[in-house]
Amino acid sequence: MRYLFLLLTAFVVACSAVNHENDGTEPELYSLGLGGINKITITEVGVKSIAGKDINISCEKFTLTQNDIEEYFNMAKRISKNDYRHMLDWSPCYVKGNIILDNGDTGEWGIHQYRGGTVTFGADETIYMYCPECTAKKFDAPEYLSN
Amino acid sequence: MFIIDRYGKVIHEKIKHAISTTIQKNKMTAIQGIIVHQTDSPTAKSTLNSYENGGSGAHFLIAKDGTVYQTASLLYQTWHVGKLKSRCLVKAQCSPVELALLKTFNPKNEHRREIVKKVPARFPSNEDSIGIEIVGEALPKKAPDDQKIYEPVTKAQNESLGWLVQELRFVLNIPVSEVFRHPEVSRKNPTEAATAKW
Repeated sequence: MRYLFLLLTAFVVACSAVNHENDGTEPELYSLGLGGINKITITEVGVKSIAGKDINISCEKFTLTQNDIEEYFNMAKRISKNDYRHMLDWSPCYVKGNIILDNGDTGEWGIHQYRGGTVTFGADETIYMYCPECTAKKFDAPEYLSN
Repeated sequence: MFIIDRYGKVIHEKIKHAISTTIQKNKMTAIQGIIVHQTDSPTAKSTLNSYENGGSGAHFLIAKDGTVYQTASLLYQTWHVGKLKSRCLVKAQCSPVELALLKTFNPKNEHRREIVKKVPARFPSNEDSIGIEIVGEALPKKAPDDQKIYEPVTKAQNESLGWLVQELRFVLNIPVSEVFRHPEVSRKNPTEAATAKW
């Protein structure tokens, strides 16, 4: 009975939210446009951001596999920096690595638990990414409280 | 005290108009709160230029020297908040049903449950809040995203912010309890606007 009540409540909330879908909480998506990728390497998993050091969340269990990362770069979309800052949720938990493109460009990437990420090439070019369709289960895992 | 004209423009000698209609979204029928942000940009000009592309933005922008720009009419919403965090969780006032739903952890659904509530049961959102951006970068500039911390707000910026928040609160009857830093209402880098004072 309790679960039926929870299910009914969730259904009512979902229905009442229909009119709020276009409320500026999902970014406009563009093609990632990196071109061919030669190699992707994971250098660190379960990283906690410096800015999030005081947040009561443990990042050790936020891991992504090589397959997860390859799917991410295959399915992720490019978004604007303004939308990345305003619309995407920010997580203190990251997986990091390197990327080499077919044209020889090399970059550093970071992907956080709420499906956002950045890849930086050279001194100035940062591309902001979001992958709402990626299937890695760790994107939907609960936040791990430290205590 | 400043005046808000029928176009939603604030009339005061301290405010420069640099309104970008591209960041104005739906009509804002009620104003319930104020959200304070930092831009992650080096200058006011770079943020104003980015507004020409549309998408996200805020109503006011405070430059490093304290200059205040109005960047959107107060008659319109701007997209500056993102998905709302559960306010009942912060206030430890969630019902058992809501607590059970929060355990499933889905920020999108959490936002959907919040947005159907009324302020102050939820935090102010895109629909009913004024956004104030303070120019300031997340540093080191070339570092990966996970290593970035927002630079401190300047003294001139905090003086302008204090004046602007006070005027907006007075004219629009907004309680001080409904003025927030961005990371308080949404999941954001907690150092954003951490040194902002009003």
